[in-house]
Amino acid sequence: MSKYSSDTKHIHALNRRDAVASFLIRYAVFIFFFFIYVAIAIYRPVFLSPANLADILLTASLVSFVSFGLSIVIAAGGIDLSFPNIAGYGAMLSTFLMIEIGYSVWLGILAGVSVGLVIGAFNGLLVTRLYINSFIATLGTLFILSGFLYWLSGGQSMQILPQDFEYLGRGTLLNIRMPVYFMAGVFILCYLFMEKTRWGRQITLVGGNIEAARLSGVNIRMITLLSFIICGLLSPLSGILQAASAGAAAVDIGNRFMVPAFAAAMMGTVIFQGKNIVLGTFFGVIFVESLNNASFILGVSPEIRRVVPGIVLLATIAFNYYAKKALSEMRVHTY
Amino acid sequence: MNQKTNNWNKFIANYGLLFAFIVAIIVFSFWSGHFLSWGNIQNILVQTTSLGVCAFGLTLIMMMGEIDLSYAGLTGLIGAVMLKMIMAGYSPIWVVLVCLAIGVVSGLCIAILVVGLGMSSFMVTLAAWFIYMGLERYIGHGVTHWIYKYDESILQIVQGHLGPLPIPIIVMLGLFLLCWLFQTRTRTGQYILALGENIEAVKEVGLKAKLIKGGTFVAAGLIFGLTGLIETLRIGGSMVYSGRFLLVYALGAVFLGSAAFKAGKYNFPGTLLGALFFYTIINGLTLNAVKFYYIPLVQGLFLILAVAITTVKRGEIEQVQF
Amino acid sequence: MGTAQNDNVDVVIKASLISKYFPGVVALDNVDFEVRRGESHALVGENGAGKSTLMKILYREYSEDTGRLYIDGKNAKDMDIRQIRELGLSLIHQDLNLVPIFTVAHNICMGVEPVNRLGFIDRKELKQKAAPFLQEISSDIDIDARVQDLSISQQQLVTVARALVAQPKFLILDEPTARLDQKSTEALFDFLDRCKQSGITIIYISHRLEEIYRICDRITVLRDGKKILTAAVEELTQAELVKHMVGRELKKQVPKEEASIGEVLLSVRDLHPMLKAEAISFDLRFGEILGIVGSIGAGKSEVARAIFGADRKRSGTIRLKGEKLRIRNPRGAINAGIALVPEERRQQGLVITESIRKNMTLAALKKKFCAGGFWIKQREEKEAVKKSIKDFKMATPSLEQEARLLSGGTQQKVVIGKWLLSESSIYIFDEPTKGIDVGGKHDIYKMIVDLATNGAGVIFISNELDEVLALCDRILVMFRGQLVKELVNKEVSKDELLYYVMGGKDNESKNK
Repeated sequence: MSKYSSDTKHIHALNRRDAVASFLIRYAVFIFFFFIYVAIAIYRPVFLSPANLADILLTASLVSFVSFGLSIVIAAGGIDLSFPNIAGYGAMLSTFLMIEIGYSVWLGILAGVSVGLVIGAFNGLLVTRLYINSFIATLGTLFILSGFLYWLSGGQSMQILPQDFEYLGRGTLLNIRMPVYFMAGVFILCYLFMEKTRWGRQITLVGGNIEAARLSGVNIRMITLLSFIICGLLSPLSGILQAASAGAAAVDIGNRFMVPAFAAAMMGTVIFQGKNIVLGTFFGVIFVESLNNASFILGVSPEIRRVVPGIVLLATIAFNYYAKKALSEMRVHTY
Repeated sequence: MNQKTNNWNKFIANYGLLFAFIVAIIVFSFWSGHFLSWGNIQNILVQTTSLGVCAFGLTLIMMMGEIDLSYAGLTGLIGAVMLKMIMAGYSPIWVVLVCLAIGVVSGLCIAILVVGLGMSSFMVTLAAWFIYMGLERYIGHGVTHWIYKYDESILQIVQGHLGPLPIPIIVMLGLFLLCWLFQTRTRTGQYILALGENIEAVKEVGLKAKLIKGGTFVAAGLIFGLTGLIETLRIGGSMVYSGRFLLVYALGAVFLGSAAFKAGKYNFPGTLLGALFFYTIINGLTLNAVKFYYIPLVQGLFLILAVAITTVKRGEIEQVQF
Repeated sequence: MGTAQNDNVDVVIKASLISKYFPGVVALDNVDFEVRRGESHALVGENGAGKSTLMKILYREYSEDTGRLYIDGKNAKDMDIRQIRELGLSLIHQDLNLVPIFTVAHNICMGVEPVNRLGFIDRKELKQKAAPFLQEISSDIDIDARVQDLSISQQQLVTVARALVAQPKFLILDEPTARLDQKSTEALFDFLDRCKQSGITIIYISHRLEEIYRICDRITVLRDGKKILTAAVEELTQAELVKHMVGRELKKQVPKEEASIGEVLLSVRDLHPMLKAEAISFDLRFGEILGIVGSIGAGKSEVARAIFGADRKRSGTIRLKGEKLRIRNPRGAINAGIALVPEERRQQGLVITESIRKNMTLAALKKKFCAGGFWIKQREEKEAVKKSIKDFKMATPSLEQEARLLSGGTQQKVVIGKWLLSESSIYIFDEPTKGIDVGGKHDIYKMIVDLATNGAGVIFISNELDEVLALCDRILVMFRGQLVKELVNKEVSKDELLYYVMGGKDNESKNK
């Protein structure tokens, strides 16, 4: 087979120094992660105590659902700002149906999740049929939903929730709270979906280059719509489990997810250079919530702690930018 | 025939929003007799000031094909800083200068990250918004303070009149004229528009595209600082996260404005009209005792409709650039 | 050979040992380039030879490069565009870098607009200032018109006028005639003659030999990022020049195997690919390679995209093996067995941030690599991609390599491989060898010839007449959106083909 000339001049192995640098850049987040853990653990050993780790896992699990949803939308080349209110609306609607109408717990949750799906589809249609930039479309939805939230509840919070419902948030299995198990389940589903199924693959490729995907026969409308539907479907889970573990649902229940979910999803799309975003987002969630927890243990005032996720977000973007630049330059010089 | 329908389409595209505005005014004036009183018109105009000012800054940025969301957090942050300073007894001049300086520094940081380092303006300013929200909480502790309890003198800035018009309206209209003349008449103003149209054309003739871009971010920062100042004085105190509402209003006003006068292009008269339209509707609804929770609902729908007017014919899904 | 190194001549632009790298490509490899005062210097080479890159380095649009650069005796290495312009160097770009919503006058005076006392742009003086420069090059462009309302040809003339505002001593023109109609081309040549008389140094990049011989004094040939030679025009015949550009005779290197051409596979009737043009009809047969040639803006890509359903179709019918097709979008075309290798490889052909594997199986994912249309069969996928990599000798360390890190040739192999995996029956190639080095080109030619030999129908769209002549059985010539000529390859010479490409008519051809 000497039919095709092989253009070998374009392949060069990275030299050793570049290989080390490349490794450092690729895994810098983990290295950083590791040092932070070690530093905090030395300073405050309680940080690594099982009870505290379980606490981190719990807070991480609550924010994980919106983060997975958001990262999938981002992977498809969009953005969803309405997730805090989808989460809030899902939680308020399901608890409202349980308390005021007398729905069973599962039916209430089903209703909450379904309404998330509908809102996600609404977002998706705005983007794929009216061609509105997803940032603007979901910002509009965020506001519309906040109107609906007050309409539904009259500004009152839902309290005295059914015992079975609270068990979903407060119950434990093997000393680990229930939401952590839900997180594990949803993580596996999302991971399989994004890495092993056709739709997941197409979502990544549409996000990478929508025109190339279209010219390769991908139904870009359907795929973009799907990504918003998934985000809409996952977001209420965060709100519902937050309500269950707090024992009440208030109108602004979703707002606390906004910044950490963004930071986590951005990290997720960065950690493995845009590959394997679900696993990346999982690490992102753990990282953001660990930092939050650590700053609590270190006695940082709650006001300053609010700045932390924003700084993590900015640092992540900056890091992403430099990693990409450094890796591509490294490549060029080896020719 | 074809030419005729074409002209008609163009006319609708350019003046449709103006008609919608007039129709809204007519409807509201029949709905509530009080709507067209001079007092209420002044009221609408004063309410519009902080939005208008903010939207002018945003128009400059969006003309270049960039985005800046920092104002959503900056407004609240400035409110918190102002109250802190007023409570500590600083003179109004210092308060005003510090507020504007915060805006400039914010614009400068964004310019360095976006123009200097080439990061995405969307992500940078989104992060800036989050950070400012945190800083606001840090400085203001999430508590509402009212200015009149500490220092009445600074409130004169917004309560005073110049002739028949309240000072905030003069500030807004003055800034409008300034921005409009700057953008349409001066060289730099025209380069800002050119940057959004074709950045290569600006670079090719040897102009310093980065400097113009960075300068615009700083100028917008200054305008956002002014926004925070006016908004806080207009409310008369520091409300928690007061900028969150501005986020949607200002984007809506700019998008809506792009559907007026110069179809599909951002322009200052359009932005002013868009901002007025927003508060006219809010005012009309409030005046008729529509429940408060309908207002964000109407605003959200409004934003979506405003943008859909310009995008529905595009036929291409627009993705977000990170 | 032109090695006339004379110390007496006044060398005004001296670039030595210039190298420039892009990810995956060496654009320029230690190039030396010299221009003398007052001469017209042609820079020629095939697509991707590095001409435009070299010019952008002279103009300091690209700054990260190696080598030395002196302009008018000054070290220009660390200058920016503004300083370069002050030295008297102006570049007229291949791309129309104009601001569409500004007027012609404003575009011409961009950067040097006259202002009044208030600092406002003085529109009246702006017009007066721009008028003489516009007059220099064209008399029928309305100076108050917005650039977006002008024809492409007129827009290109505006860029020429804009370059004059800087009072250039050196003028670089990067394929200025590619977008010009006949009349404007004449106007440009008259203008260039006047420039030469007034002592302006010209660097002229072009693909058109006649133009070079008409305008230029000396020629520098680039090939694959290397300088081949510099010589006076008198010393080089056109045939020799072409030989230096190409490096070898193409036709002999890629023998088109005699494929048995069968029945009509695809028949296109009354297709309207462009708005203001007549309908187009043609047939494609089994085992045939059908070339479509024409200059930029002739509508070749539009034909391809219309058949593939990439743009909204205006009218016309397409029949596949006699059966009428309704193609609304690329998905429909792919299901019917049509494949398109698009013109812009990085923007339209590949997801450059993803791996070879994911790129290659994208089109056939549902058909071949999914169980129940949903679960990806990972092992089959990997096997298929590995086989393709081996079959086409793709230069890559693994199938997980990101597409952006591959050379242009390998990238194009990935795109073609994608369609081979989806087992199409009709392949449309739109400028498949653009910006690809020689080795890569040959591999791609071989892939195309193999396809036809195996019975597929191929439509081959190209700007490069040599490769069309080397590969195609039949050639369709397009000119301004219309199909002007159908030629059978065996009976046509390159001169004749070029004649039709440039808009020549039948009867005149016989007189020639």
